[in-house]
Amino acid sequence: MLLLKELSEACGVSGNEGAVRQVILDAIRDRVDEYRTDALGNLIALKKGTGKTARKVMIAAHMDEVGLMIMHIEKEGSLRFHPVGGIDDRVLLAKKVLIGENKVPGVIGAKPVHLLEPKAREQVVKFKEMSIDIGVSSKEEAERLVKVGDYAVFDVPFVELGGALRTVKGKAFDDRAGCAVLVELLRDRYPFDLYAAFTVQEEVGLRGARVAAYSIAPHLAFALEGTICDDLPKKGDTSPTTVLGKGPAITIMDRSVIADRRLVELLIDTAEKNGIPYQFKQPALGGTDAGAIHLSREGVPSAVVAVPSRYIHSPTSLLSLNDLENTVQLMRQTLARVNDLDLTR
Amino acid sequence: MDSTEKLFQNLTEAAGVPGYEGEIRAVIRRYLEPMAKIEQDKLGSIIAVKRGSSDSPRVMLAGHMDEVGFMVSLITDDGFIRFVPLGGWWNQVMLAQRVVIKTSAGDVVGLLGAKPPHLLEEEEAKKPVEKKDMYIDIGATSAEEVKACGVRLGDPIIPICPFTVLAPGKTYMAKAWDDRLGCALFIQALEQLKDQPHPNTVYAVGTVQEEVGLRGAKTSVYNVNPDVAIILEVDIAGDVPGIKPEESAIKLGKGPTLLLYDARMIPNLRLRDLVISTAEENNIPLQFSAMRGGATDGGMIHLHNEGVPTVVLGVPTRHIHSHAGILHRSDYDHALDLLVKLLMRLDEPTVKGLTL
Amino acid sequence: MKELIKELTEAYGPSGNEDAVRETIKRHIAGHVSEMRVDALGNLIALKKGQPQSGIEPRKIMLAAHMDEIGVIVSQIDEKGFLRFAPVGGVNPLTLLGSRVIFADGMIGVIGRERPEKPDEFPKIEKMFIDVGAPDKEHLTRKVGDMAAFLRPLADLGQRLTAKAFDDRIGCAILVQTAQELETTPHDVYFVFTVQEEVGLRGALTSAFGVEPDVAIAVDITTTGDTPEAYPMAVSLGAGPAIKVKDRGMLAHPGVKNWLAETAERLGLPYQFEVLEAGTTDAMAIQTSRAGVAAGVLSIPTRYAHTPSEMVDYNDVQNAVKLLVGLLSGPVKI
Repeated sequence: MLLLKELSEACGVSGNEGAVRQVILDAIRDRVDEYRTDALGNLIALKKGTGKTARKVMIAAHMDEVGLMIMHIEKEGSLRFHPVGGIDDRVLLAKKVLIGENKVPGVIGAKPVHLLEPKAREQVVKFKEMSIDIGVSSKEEAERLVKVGDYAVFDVPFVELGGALRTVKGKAFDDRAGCAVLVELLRDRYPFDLYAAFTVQEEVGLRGARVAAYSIAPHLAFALEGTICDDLPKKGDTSPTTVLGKGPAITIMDRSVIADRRLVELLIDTAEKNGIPYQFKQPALGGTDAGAIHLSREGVPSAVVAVPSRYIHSPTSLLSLNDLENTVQLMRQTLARVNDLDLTR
Repeated sequence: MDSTEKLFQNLTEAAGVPGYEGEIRAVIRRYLEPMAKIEQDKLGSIIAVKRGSSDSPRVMLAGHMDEVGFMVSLITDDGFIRFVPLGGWWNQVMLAQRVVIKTSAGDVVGLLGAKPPHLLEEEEAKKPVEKKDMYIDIGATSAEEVKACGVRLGDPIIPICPFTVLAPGKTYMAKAWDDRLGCALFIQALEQLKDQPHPNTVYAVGTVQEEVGLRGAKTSVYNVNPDVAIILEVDIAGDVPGIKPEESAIKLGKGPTLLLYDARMIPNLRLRDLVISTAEENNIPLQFSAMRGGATDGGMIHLHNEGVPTVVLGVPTRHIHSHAGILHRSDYDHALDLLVKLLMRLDEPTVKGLTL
Repeated sequence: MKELIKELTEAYGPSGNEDAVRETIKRHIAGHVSEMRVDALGNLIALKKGQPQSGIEPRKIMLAAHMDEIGVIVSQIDEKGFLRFAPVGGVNPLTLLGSRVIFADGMIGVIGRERPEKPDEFPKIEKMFIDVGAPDKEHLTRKVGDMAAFLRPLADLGQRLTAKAFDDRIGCAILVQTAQELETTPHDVYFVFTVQEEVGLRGALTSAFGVEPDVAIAVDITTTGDTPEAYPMAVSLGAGPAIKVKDRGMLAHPGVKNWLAETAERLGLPYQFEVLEAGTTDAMAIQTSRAGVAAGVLSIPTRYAHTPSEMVDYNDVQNAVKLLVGLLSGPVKI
């Protein structure tokens, strides 16, 4: 399961990734030669190369997840909040959440259906009109449990669903799936120095990756992601972004980066030579840490490999362990060849 | 007028739209020169260095010098001036306001023209006029006359609003509080540090071009290379009719604000908590704010090189990004007090402890 | 120079696929510059070393023009072999209907559209497709992620020229011509041909970091206000190259702006000032590189920007070259 359960259940909304960092650190401490946490909270680990080359390769996976922040405590003790990162208001109502370091449980209150006017049933409730109920009856009582500025995460346990695709469900597969793959890749030693960057604040603007890439100054980079997988049948001839179970998704172009073609070709060739399934992520959608990394300093050739994950940015996401393992395989085999790649032109 | 009010007057009445900060920079330089070593970067940001008892940590204070305004984009044949906004403007606050055009031949006063109600159709009267349809009237009747007054394409245009102490005595009205207020804070903080030992070196930076995209912050932070940063800004007061508490719960007179997050930055949580505990221990009132749609210079500064722990301190201000804003003296005084107390605490172990 | 412009505009180069343009430029500037290199993102950086001249302080000057053009990228392929696509850069759907596009390997496609529910419905890119004439999916050699550019040859209208991708091949042509005509300069002049401008000034960001110039001038196109019922703007075709004051992404350095204007006046060249509301150029990214760069823009007035038929005035182009050569021959006055 590659640490996915522990990673998924750890809480780490953008700007407050400490708990996730701890899970990762415990897993990689003995696998790496050095590690440090930088000013924004990125965990940067170095796995030294065999000394054959001075090449530096950066692999990034982001630790943060989308979530909520408590903004205001009302007189009767209910909590007003803002979303942190991109969350569709429609997935919020009636969800269970955990607030602050003490994980105070609460629920995002919803009006019972009995009280809804017929028209209101067809309308989307805005997050500004919602509040979290932690079962208290006064502001004073609430203030003993929760502070303004506390983060809240969705309370969703990790569950194995099984089946041919070996699916699992849980929260924050975007990007704990990438973190799980990266932790796994640190078992091996490569010809080059591998910098594993577990980044912060990707969901609010690729912020951690930007400073991490600056300090690492790599020669080339990969970002590992849990990406959009909108593959269930629907009306019209729109093919899916990615498909569950069809292997790791390779990005050609998204809104943040045009992937380096030499790296993309290497990924494709490696997959085909080793019989690893792969797919292309539908172009021009989404953005990843590679968007920040490839623009660092004088530029860094970068590519993105992702594990297809259904329902990301909602409380529960779903992925196939086959895809996760194939992503590890594809990356492992690619890294074995990346040192021979000629990057001059 | 006391010295703070005089400072407010001098700062807010100076002209300085993005890219044209020369006049306000000269005012700020005059205040800073007796207290600190002054530098200037290639985009025009001013950097004042005040060394305390240690070179490290390097503490950056940032307030932006530029204000929202306009720029001449076209002179029509019949002598009216079309313009483009510099910074964010809502078209409804613009019509019939007075402005001054800063030309190479001197100041030219004008008015944003509006159609008299007599001529407005009922439907037309309900609709806001779009910025592209507005014009400035300097009282000329031909393009030649406008050009003879010295007006050229690209000249900056500044709102007119003299600094005014309002009737209750503790509130002030002026243009450009955003962010001359931040400039006032770093000027007066440096004044206080003159006679107090502080365990760091303070870089007070008046940045340029914040209103058009945090541009001066990006280059000035490269010059300063700070270990920690405090952004000094106005905050949006929500205590006026039409703003709901869930939009902004910030009130005038209830103390400075601490930003929990905005569109471009989440503050370093330990630095955020240090601000809260410093306020609590010194009985300084503090309000919390959040902005999903706006950003400050912190958005650039905290991502400099390998990252910089950063917070934003605000002073509640009503009606920003228009001709006149209103703020409360006690909020400013508390913000200054909090800032100075914070600077006393930012020694090397404390700043290193922010990012372990 | 018209031959050079034709060759450059007709080259294939959507963002991220600038190789053909880069090779063309390399060929034309070889022998006119001291050294050339290509950086990690694909920017071509060519240096013309300065010759010391008494009384002139040598500076490091970066000239930038972007090699990439807008285009489309295949996003999915349906069972019948029609290609759905997404835009690369700012593509107006209205300019696509009936257009021909060309892929890197020379394959040509035409753009079709699903039958609209209402005849006057505004076309959406999601409802369009590329037809490369494949009888079925099995005979199709294209894959998701392939990019295509507009296919449109240059037409010489006499005084004026029309072509695709004047944005910014006209800037590339002006830089190439300047490198050829500039015999000596007291400054180290970096001719930088950037990538991926249309998707976010990405090449300019990394190349400026690498070059670390004192002064930078981007050469790019700007829109005009001289066509029927145009958005009001004081720039016209044929009235001289435009010196930028402002666009959405930058306020030009006043010193650079004045240096350009004074040089034009000294040389007796026509020029106009440009205040642009929308759009921006590589100069935005260069200006805020590292500790800041004194940056300006020399714009070529261009009608119908981001369509397959952009139009420039040949005098404006030639005057831009003269202005740059004059500028680079003397001292930097900012």
